[in-house]
Amino acid sequence: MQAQVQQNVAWTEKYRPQTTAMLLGNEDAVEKFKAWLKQWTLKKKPSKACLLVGPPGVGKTTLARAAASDYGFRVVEMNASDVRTEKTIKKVLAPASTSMTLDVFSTGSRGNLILLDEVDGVFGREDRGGLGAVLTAIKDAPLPIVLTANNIDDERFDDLRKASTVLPMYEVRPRLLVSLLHYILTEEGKSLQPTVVKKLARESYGDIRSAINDAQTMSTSGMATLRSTRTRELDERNTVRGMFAGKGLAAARRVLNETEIPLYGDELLLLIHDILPYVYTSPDKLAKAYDALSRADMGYGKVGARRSRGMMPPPFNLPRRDRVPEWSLLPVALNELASVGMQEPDEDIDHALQVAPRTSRKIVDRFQYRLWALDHLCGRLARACHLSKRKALLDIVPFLVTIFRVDEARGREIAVQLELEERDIDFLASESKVQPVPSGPQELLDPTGFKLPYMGKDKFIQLMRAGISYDRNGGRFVVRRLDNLDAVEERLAGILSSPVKFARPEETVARGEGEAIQECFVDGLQVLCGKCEFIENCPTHAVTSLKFCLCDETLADPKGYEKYVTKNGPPPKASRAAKPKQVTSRRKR
Amino acid sequence: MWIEKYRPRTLDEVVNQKETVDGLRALLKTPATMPHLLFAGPPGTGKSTVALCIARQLMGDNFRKLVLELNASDERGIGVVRERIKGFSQIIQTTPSGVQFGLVILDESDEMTKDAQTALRRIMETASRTCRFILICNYQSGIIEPIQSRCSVFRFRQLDEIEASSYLDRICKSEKMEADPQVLKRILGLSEGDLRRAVNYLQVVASSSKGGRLELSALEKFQPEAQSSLVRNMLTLAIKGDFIKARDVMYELMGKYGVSGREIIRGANREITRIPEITEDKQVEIVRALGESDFRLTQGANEDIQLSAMLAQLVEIGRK
Repeated sequence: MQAQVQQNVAWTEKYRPQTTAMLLGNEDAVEKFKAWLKQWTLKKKPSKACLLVGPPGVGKTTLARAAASDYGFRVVEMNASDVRTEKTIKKVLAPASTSMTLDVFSTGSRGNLILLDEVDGVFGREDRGGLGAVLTAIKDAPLPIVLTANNIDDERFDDLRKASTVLPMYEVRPRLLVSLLHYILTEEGKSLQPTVVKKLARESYGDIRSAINDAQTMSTSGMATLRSTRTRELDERNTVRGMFAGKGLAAARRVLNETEIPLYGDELLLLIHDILPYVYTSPDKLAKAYDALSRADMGYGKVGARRSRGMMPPPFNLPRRDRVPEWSLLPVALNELASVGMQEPDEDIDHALQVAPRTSRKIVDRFQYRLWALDHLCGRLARACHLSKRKALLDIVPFLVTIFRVDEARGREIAVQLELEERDIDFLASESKVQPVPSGPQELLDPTGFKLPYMGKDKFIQLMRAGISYDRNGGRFVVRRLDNLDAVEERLAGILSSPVKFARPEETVARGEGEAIQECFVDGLQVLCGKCEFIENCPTHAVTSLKFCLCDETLADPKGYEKYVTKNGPPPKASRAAKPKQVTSRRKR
Repeated sequence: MWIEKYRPRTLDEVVNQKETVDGLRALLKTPATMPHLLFAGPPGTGKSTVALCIARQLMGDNFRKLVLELNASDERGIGVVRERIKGFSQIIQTTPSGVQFGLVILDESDEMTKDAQTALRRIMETASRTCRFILICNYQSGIIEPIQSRCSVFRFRQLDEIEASSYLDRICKSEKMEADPQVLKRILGLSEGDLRRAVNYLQVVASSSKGGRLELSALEKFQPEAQSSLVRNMLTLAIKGDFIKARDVMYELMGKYGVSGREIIRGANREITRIPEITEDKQVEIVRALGESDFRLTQGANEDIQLSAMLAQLVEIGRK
């Protein structure tokens, strides 16, 4: 295949999308950018330049290049390293932008598009004047100018922000990345274990470039994991075993040094959090161990490491100005973490790893998503109603949600009057779908093992007759036949002082996680999220603004990326990988 | 929202606070000598509304340009406030024509720390040539003395039922609804003298009404404190020794209803006295555990870990 010929080409270049249809993620920004660029092909030119803002590797430059080729512009690129001062900027910008080049007629190209990469990097403190030159260039330019930046929060960029159309771009969802990586690997005839690919995608935090680079290095060098400078790394099972081995603090600390679980995020904390009640069943040990874990968590809080936001779908994974982590404090937190397993476990570790549900990651992410969504909504409401965000949360949001619940059409009307954004309205609608908590205490007993207060021999015999047996080892009552819980409840109501209610198996399953309909891009089915069989594995279902979701079932499908592309635009050209250079001038309109 | 639609736009439309409004009107006759103002009073009594009315009367068409609305509890840090006021007063200076000053409305100013208020005092002094301030707070005692002495203080008192219901009546009329006194009474009872809440309740009730008749049925779907029964459930489970289930309920609170850790703690503090399983000596221990957990929440990185640690403590307390 052609792929083998170009073995020494960087994959990031080789697979750089040549048309916008092949871009991954950031659908919103892509559409808006295309609309902006299209205006330049018409009579009425837009007055503003376009500023793409987002973290490294999400495809800002790629978007500019791909869209340019879509509309037949020739890209004149200036990198941070090219331009330094006002003079050079003027020199480069002036001829390119003011002289209507002969190309327009000779090559059929529409002319030049100027791409200024990493403006926030260029115009640091020492580049006084450079920014001003760019601003004047933007104003007078008869050609499209595209700027990219990682972060324009700083005041210095206020004018730039005003003078240009700002399009934020976000980290790409890991699931999309997984399918892209699988696609590239099959194209290259290489293979990596699915778990490794998943891990790569997750740890890239949405940076497509670094994910592809890592995949290339790993698959060509044959290394199992990138960070394995040591020969032996402990996997999850051995890490946890080592931590609870009871060989003292120093030994447990050593385990943390050798684990493959990344310690800069909260992965290990959450893992321990999940299994802890299954390791320590006696209350005093559990309380002590949790105390240590909570101290470790406080330690992590002081370090201030960034949480894995990569899981959050746009638009809620907004780039924030995070505190710079103080890694020097990490050892303190790790010592606390090592002390969690100092007591002798009540249960077998392997067993605990098996039975403990790994829910905390999902909970944390969903919770975080909701907080961000709420924060955005409250910010809007606060401005519209002259309130603080907190007051908006208490005094407006519950009322709005109720109105949505009662009459959604009316709610939407009000939301539009308040000038809420589409995503806020969607969020309100999804909130209103959550049924209110039933008032009054309603404790459901688990029919396969529940406790009752001591009530003497006579009542005990009556209970046995009512269809309940007693598990002497577990110290729990068990309903003998689960198919007729109603009858058992009725009989028990006659015996016990207060009626009891059992949890029905289906009640725990159908949790009613919103009713957002999402289209699975793989099979094209419209599924109610509550009915989707993969709901437990799906972190994106809470977001109604997404047009499709990806689930675990589709992750390893090498065709995943192609399907994604066809879903979002025309299918990729078959010859793309072989001759990437020609595409630029081919598309005409 | 009706709270915006029916917010009084001039001082004459304000239904209550007669003395306060009269006093302000007298001041506004000579706008040039207007002092800084401090409005204090319970929520939903019209402080922000009156401030906006004043701003509108003073600035007229320049309202958007010459009025700076700030929220002390949102604009974190005095640095932000300072920067924005500084930028604002520069705009005022460069604005031509007979405007004497710009107006800064600082809402919820009692939320600011003492240090921030001290800094605010300096800002007020340096900016006083170009800006007048209207500070709004719930508790006058939350404002430091030096600032109080620089402002004329106006107190807003709680609305009584007659004033509030006349206001709601007016809304009903212009929305072509029949103002059922029974329903209005219920709404006023729920809102506890807070007119903003009252109007919100009215809108919720109206959203389910058919043919201009108010129905109370919508209120059943309204649950601002929906989580309290779940919190109680969680505590009971923990005290009875079922840690895993208690943690599941906590997950439900956080994941499904999006209740934050601090809210759960606050709810727990409210609920512990209402749970029969908790004896009095245990209550003391539990309160101590809750307090510790509240502190750790502010330090930690993961709320669910901190809350689980608290639940584990409760399980242990329950066993004793």
